[in-house]
Amino acid sequence: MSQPTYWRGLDELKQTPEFLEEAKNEFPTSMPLEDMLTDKADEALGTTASRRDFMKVMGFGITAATLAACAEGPVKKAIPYVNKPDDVVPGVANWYASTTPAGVPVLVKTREGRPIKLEGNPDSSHTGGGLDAAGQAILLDLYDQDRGRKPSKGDAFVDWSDLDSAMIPAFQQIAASGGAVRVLSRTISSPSAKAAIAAFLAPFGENGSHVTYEAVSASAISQAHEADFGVKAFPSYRFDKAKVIASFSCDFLGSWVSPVEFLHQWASRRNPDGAWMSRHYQVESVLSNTGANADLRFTVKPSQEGLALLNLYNKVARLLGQPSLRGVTEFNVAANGLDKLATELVAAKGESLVVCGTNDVVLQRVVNGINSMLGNYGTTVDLANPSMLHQADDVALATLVDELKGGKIAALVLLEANPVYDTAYGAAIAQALPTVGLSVSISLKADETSKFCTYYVPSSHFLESWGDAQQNAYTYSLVQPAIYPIFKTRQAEETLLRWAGVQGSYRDYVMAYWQSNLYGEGLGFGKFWEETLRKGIFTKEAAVAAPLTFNAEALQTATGRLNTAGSDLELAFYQKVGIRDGRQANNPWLQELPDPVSRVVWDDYVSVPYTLAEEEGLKDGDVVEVKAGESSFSLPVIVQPGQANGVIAVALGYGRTDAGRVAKKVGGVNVYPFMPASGNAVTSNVSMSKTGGEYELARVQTYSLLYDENIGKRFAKSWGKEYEFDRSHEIVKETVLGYYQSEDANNPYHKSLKKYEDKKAHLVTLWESHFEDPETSQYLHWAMAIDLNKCTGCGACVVSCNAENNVPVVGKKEVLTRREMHWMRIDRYYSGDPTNPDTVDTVFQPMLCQHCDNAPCETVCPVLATIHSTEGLNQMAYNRCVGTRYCANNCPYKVRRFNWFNYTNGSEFTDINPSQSEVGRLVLNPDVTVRFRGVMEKCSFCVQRLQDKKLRAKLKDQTSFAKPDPNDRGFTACQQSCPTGAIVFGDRNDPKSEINKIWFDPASKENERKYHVIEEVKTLSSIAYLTKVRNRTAEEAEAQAAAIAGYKTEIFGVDMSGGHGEAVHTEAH
Amino acid sequence: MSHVRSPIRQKWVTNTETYGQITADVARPIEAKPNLLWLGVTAFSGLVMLMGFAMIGWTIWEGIGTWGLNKTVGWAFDITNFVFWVGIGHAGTLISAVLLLFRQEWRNSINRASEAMTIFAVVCAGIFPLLHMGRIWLGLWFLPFPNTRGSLWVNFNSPLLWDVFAISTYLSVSLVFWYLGMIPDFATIRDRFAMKGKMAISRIYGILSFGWEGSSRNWSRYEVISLILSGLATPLVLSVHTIVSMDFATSVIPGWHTTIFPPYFVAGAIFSGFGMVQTLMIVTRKVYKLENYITMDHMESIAKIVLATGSLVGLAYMTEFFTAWYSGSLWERYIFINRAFGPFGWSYWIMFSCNVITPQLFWFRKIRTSMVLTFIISIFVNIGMWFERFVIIVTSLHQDYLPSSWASYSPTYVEFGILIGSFGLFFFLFFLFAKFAPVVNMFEVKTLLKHPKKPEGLKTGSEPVTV
Repeated sequence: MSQPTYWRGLDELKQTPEFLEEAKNEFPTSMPLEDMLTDKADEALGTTASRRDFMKVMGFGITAATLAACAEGPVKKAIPYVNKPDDVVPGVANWYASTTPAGVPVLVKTREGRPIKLEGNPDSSHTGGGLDAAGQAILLDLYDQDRGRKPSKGDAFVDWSDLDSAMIPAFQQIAASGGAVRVLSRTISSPSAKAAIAAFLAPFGENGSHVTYEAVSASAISQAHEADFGVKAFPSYRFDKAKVIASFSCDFLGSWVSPVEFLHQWASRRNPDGAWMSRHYQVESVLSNTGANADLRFTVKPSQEGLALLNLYNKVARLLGQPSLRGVTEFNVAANGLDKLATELVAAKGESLVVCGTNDVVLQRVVNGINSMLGNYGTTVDLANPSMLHQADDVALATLVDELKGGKIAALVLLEANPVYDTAYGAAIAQALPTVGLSVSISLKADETSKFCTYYVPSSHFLESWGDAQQNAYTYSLVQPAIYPIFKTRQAEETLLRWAGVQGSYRDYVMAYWQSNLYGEGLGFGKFWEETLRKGIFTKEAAVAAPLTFNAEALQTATGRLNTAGSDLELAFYQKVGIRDGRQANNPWLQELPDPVSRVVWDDYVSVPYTLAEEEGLKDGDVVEVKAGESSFSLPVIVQPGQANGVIAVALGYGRTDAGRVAKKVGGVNVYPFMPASGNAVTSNVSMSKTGGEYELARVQTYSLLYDENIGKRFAKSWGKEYEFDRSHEIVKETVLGYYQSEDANNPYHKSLKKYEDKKAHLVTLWESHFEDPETSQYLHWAMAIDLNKCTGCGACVVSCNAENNVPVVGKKEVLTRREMHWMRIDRYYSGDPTNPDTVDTVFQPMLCQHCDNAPCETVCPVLATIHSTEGLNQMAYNRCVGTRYCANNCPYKVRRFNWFNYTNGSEFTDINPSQSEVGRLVLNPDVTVRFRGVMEKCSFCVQRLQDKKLRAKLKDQTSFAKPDPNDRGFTACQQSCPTGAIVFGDRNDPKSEINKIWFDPASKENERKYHVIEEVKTLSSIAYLTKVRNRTAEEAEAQAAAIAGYKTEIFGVDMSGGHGEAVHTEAH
Repeated sequence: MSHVRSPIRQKWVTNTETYGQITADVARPIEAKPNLLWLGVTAFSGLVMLMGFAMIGWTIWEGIGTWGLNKTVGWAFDITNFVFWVGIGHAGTLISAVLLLFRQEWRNSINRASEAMTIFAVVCAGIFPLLHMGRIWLGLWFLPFPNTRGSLWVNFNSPLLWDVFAISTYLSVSLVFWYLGMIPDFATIRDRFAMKGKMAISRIYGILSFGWEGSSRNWSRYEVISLILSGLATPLVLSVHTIVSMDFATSVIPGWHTTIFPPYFVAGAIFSGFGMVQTLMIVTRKVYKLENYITMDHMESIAKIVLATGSLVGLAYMTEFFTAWYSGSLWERYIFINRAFGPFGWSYWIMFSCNVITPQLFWFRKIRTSMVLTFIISIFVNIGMWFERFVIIVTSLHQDYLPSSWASYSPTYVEFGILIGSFGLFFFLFFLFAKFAPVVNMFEVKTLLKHPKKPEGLKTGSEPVTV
């Protein structure tokens, strides 16, 4: 092969002379290199740009790009600290003391700068360290993606500086022209905030005033005290000092004024082994959470409540030899209950308490009269040290509405107030607001009212704010921020001060206020402030009660105004334990918190008493139209045992239109417009008719009895009475104080103990349990005891668990298919005769993973994803779980929860599951894995918290094995949150612990009350329940048993007497 | 098979004189061109199967939430289908192994199709334990293999793990047994295609027949191995469904926690399997005109087994009630009363009437010999046995210990789709088998053809004769 010759170009081929010349040079000379490097570049390149220009342009470009890159932009990825703040250790929580807007002192747990959990402040004598469901859930409001982010005027956003420079002259002008300015707020317990409002209103002199209202008002109480004693104040109630509590429609354990405080007080006297146990009477129309926990409960219609109170007054007066009220129609509740109540109240003179939750001045004055006769003022009713947690003034609100209608107001500032939605004046205010010259709504998020206002100004969440709170005359606490404001918000007090011309931070303002008003003598203010801020709470000396005189004649005059005319059907309004007045309607944790009584989530409904439903042929989910006066609304029905006959009830707090995307999913009807000026019910002109529609109500529990009524109805008659299959004693044990304290070995309580002892023989097993092995008894063994006597079913533990353990929110549709994910649930069972609401008893039973030592779930898992720890925990290894659901099937307690969908990603859960929003995700606890679909999950006994406690104990003792403080009350989230202290948790192998005594000490009365749910399955559960003891006498218990037997006899068609408490005991398998 | 046989005993092959005719009859569908009927039903079942696969895909993509299960009822259609299909399989093994050991000659003409049924049923069954997992992609973790995840091992206490072993053993033994039996027949077909000059097809069957020569040594080894395999498969008839029943029996849930389950499940499995054999055989003998090989006597024998096992199952149902009452445990008593009279009572009575009442009709010879009625009853048996598993699983779970957790259950279209799709898969596989493999065991049927002539000088016709 011959190599071809290559040529580089035609020049080379032709061998032109120019080519030959060029080829001699190493570098081609045709390039104007010389020129380019000299000033002749312009000519050479044919451009006019000089090298200098090039450098200029280039330099500018690079600098501009650099500067542009420095501009503020969203940070997409977390970056590690270059300079770590001293107080932030990644992985270690920081705690700050603060106070919720409801006045509950809390500790805020922050991780890496974000609050992830609220816990009651255990140092608080006011609450004892508990926190309720709404208080737990308020944390999620911080991360609500529908929060206001910028001030706005109409639809346009306004800058803070522009807003301030517009508002300051506007208010100055109003002040100069003598226009009226009103600040409308809900109860503000904060003294410094009140000072700030006063400072804001100061320039207006007489023309400025602050009006306080509450959606669900108890203003009548302070009005009544003003009328009777000349003190316009809301007294502090002391349920812990009352041996006999008579509560008239007052849901003080669920939603009324300050539930955490009252739960704490009430529960402290619910120990059947204590010096005394309080006796709680409840007279009400709707089965409230409080009524469900009462010892004796009587139902009346709302219109009869006045009569009941007047008759009680007269009976008490008669017993005490004081003059009765004249012209009172005779009335009594079932079984002459009022006589019994009066006798007991008088017997416990000075140690009894009558409260009434109805917002009616006359009723409240009757209550004052009874309390006064009984000498309860100064002991159980403390007017000398009034409560600051409810300051509503209905008269002032009515005046304000009149002024608004009359066009007399120049400027209205709404502080976290939403009167268009949550007052009966809503429509009038909405109509009047546009006519007000300047209306400003300062609140966490734009709501129904702010759309009628000139300006909407976002305020900061309490976790982003400074402040303080005053629970009563002598108890204070501080609010401090736990996070820098997430959005461009400013706390309301600071906004007001800025407009009043006061500069500086609100923190300085609070400090100055405390220095001049609260700090006495001593260590120096700096130290005092630091110490108080750390503890969060501050207590002064309580004032001593002065004797009060009650004018019975004035009451006699007032009672003439009492309207006791009722009708066949009355419509009562009430607050639900979670949703309350609707403020937190956009909170998915609360919407998915089952109502303690109805167990419904995500829905609004009409509660209809059992008898009425039977008569009208109504069943759960039938849609009815309720007509009250001229207006009407349609809602689905639930049939509610225990509700007074002739009363239908609807919850407040629903039908929010502008609260955000979660509230929008709920819907419902806003019934505030139906609320009368006094009282909480419509007592005339109410009618209800079926629309024929049906609606599916999502309930987490659809069966409410401990026996199967349907089977009993079909078979008991022909086959015998055991065909009701009453297994209640295996699940819930309850007795009455009369039996409990009696020495008689033959009463049902002692007999059941005997039976229980006998049964232990066949709980013996063939198999050795390594947990009874002395070898393992040196280790920790975690265990829990739940006192059914103290548990009120309030649901605080449920929300606390959700927050601590990143439990997903799944929404209504999934709850309808019975797939709620709550690790902790509170089962509610009824007993009694549903046709007679007075006999309906309710029992609550918190149910969570029992951490069985013989766990049925553990043996069946094919891949060992659920295993037992040496500390008695039933552990879930999420990573190992393949999702066969065998464990859940084999769980006798049905506490295991399966991730049916990918809740953190699925489009169905976008709006409701906090972990799906950029902001909401911040609430997740980094110590707990977020579970993927296909994985089983369940209560872990808050293993992350237990590990933390163990590590801390080790660090403290500097040893490799140390036991945590045996009586720590914050082991698990549920235990920590429980306002009544119903949950005891600890190491049962530690002789110093309380749980050890409950578990093993035969001398302890708690040990006597201890039992396990369905113990005969021999799961060796690590959760003990303590028998519920109702404060009833043996006779009352027999009457109740007879009522139940009578009802069953009727529906089963066979004599069922002698069944209750002595149910057929059978052998285990 | 040389043994003593009575000349007056019924003939298992009728109207057939020569071995060649048997071969021709059985091989006819394989050699003929696929007809429209076959194409139609195969395509239809294939489509149903694909629909089922789509539903399976949707389940895997979206999650188990697409089913109607809930926190209380954690299993329903998934495990019902699993137990149902495993049960169906049992008849095939019983016919091929147990009846072989007991020298029941009538098994010869139906064992092939029944074994095929077993294989395909187990294939269908195998889908469900995998599919019911929340994270199917981790199914490998069911296997005890050395791994890099520390000392992580499977839980040998778990009946689900026993299932894995039981089912995989069952599938492999049945598959080998079934295939082994087809080898001589494949060789026959190979030779027939070769004679016709269709060498390509002949070569395929040649590979399938593993070079079978029909030599004495071949036959001798064949007989030995099939005896060994039937010995191996016989305990499986009892063990597989025993282990499946232990998924329930070892739990603590009333209605599941029952010692009667192993025999009860085995009887039920054979019952349902024979029901399915009836369904398939009635159609096969009709369509392929195999009435001479699968005779009325065969159908009667099957019906008698259905009658016997159906009565056993009925006895088990009643024993359960007796035991619940006798135990004195309220939980047990309640679950059984609730099973029959509670919210799912309708499913109990479907089960009871299909499984206990309808098979009793087989006491009548007229019904046993009426293929239409037998077919209808066999469908009832299939329905009833599916419901038996549904009743056991769902009614026990939906109202167990704590009334607060009582819940109902209603299936979604996805669950129905998968159930129907599993039938599509089963029939699709069966139709392929019926076209490309001999549905009747030719060489074993041939052993039944020649009945010995009466020896000279023998006086009484009833005396046994040695062949």
